[in-house]
Amino acid sequence: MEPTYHNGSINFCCTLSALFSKPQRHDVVAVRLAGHRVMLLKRVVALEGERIEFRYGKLLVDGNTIEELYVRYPCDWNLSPRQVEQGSVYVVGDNRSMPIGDHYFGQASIKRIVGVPLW
Amino acid sequence: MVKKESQEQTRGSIQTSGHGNLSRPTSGQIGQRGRTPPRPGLLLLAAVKKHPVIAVLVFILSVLAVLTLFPSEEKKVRKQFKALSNVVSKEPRESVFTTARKAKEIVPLFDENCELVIPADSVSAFFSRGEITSYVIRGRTQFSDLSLTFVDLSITFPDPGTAKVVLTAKLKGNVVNGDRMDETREVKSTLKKIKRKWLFAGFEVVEVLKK
Repeated sequence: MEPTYHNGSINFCCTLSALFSKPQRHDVVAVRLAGHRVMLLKRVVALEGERIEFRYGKLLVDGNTIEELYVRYPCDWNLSPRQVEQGSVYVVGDNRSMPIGDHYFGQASIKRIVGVPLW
Repeated sequence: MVKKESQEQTRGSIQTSGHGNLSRPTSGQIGQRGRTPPRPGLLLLAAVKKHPVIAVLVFILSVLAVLTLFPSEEKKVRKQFKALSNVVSKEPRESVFTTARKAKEIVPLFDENCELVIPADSVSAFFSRGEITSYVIRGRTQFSDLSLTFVDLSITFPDPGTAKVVLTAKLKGNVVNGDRMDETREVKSTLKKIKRKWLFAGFEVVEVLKK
């Protein structure tokens, strides 16, 4: 999530938001792994049922280009279109300058989203 | 004569009174009853009442001794992950002797065959103990320093000879060519109990984020 959040940093998350509302596009969310000690911080870019793709670094959802002000470094990603499954959201980190093959992103089950960072 | 008779009568009366008063024995009489020793439980209770601090310390030490000498199965499984973490991790400028020692220590951690499943890379195969050892050794040479840690371990025992563990694995290191590696993945692991030892029999990387 560089440069928004630094790798390995400690963040406080509000878990109530995950209980009472569904994640929205552009939200930064904490995705649970095996437990609650280590989590992934990612940004929601597409919601369930939507079709996502990257074309020359631009994010397209259902064919429409989405403006991403939080992406500060140049990006040249290309990803073929794919549909987000029901009960999932598509999450990507803000660091798009790294090669797409090295970046850990994809669709995550909504059940794995435990909250949003407080700041 | 009269005097002697009276003395005997007095002795007899004393003896009679001693046998008759059984409900309230004197301290001298308790010492004489050597045939029926006091119960150990009562003795222990008396000792605890007399030295409560020592008793508490003895109790704590006993519990610690039991936990150390007879670790639970869960603790044994955790220990195995710690051992794996130790042999895979690499300090900067690791000596040849340490590398050789660690290579030797990898072998007994694994079962004869170990299943490796990585859905993102379409890997699903069984590897022999020797193959895994050579992969780990080869992998370690690619890094100048490497750290493998396991957190959030959740251990279950579906049957007495099998342990299923869900955990988060963190692999951090610097590749020899200068690149930095920092990967965090959820992993499901299976361990089999063979000859009283827990051995790794399978690893599956969970696809938390599906591309």
